[in-house]
Amino acid sequence: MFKETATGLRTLLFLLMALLLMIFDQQSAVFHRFKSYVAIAVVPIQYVVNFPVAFLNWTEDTLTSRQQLIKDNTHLKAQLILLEARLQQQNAIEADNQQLKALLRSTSGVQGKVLEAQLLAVASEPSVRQVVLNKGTVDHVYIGQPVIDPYGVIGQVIEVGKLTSRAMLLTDAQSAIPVQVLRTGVRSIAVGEGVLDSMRLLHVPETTDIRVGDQLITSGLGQHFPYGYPVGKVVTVNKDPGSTFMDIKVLPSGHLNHSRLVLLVWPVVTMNTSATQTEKKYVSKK
Amino acid sequence: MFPKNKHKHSLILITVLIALMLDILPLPRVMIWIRPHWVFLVFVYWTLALPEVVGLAYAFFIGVFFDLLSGALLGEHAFAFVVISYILLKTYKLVRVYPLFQQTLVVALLLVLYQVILLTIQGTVHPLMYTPLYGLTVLTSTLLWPLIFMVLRDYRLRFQIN
Repeated sequence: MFKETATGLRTLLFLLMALLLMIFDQQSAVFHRFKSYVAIAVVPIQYVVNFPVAFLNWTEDTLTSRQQLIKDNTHLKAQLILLEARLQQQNAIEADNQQLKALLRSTSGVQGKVLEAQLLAVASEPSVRQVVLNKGTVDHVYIGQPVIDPYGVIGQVIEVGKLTSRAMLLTDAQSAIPVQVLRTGVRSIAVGEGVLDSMRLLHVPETTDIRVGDQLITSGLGQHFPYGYPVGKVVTVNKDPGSTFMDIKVLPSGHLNHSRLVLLVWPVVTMNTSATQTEKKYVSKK
Repeated sequence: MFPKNKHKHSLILITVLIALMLDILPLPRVMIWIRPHWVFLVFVYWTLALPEVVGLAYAFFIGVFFDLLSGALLGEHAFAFVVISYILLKTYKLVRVYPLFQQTLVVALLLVLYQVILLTIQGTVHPLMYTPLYGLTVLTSTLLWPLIFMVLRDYRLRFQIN
């Protein structure tokens, strides 16, 4: 009899502790710093879990035939030449752009430092769309940092530990990113939908010019994401006569589900710089 | 009396650790919907087998560790595990002697409860999409129970964890 009541009491105690943890985790920033230290304990496990995947990649690399390598090499070289050619044009355009922006005395700069990071694990709950990256405060990763892959933005960093960090993908239910339509410049906010692999545009009035297939890029508003990275493509536009806004679904451009290597971006935000200052920065960087 | 195994805690924790790893293993997106709750199954087995060793404290700390590992809200899984642990501690005498089929049904019910608790917590923290797809993990986990049960019983008898 005594033992039974003790079990009930202890259960209540533990439930209360769990509840407190949840409330603190949801509310307190100080608690988050404490949590990031405790979380170091799980890093070895994340690395161990990553090992079989890394091993498979390694065997695949070593077992590729010579023929395949030669084929890949030619293909990559061809692609490189193509990209280089495009880059030449890009450089000229960028220089023009800088000059124009300087004339307008506006802000500029998508150029910045990037760092390659590897995915260590993904969240196990279907509704939580997060990934763990193998870079932390040691590599100067910060909260809110944009994460991209070769095809577009894939998310932002939400938690930084010493050696690892956690990034929230664009499709997470808590994710939102300021975007604009490349064709028309219409601005909106794309929010994740959690379970589905898509995003939704917020507050787009019925009269807005937006079509299926429109490319969305980051608008740079909100100062989190640098301007001009591809975010996604509009897949459906529904006009509901009953509501003020349209229902627009967006498919992310970044390969959210099968990128193993991603890039962390340190955008250079130059606020209110005159032309000479911008130029100096460019010179000193080179 | 059986000889007491000195390393029983580490032997139990090894199985929990393996289950944790299986739970966070990167999988293709589609697989996430059918990924079984490994830690849950392993935890239920040990509670049924050794309730005086694997009790509420175990439940709480496994839960917290799982939260840290999976990036869920801290305390979310701890809460669910403690509730399951309480039910098991109250009923283990009964469930333990059930035939495997009946036991599997009990585990299925516990899995539903576990899933409901987690979804309720997640639903209060952020907007959640409700789809019947959530039931798939319950199904795969239930189907896996007899296997987990037999493998872990073998493991327990071989290393004489009691």
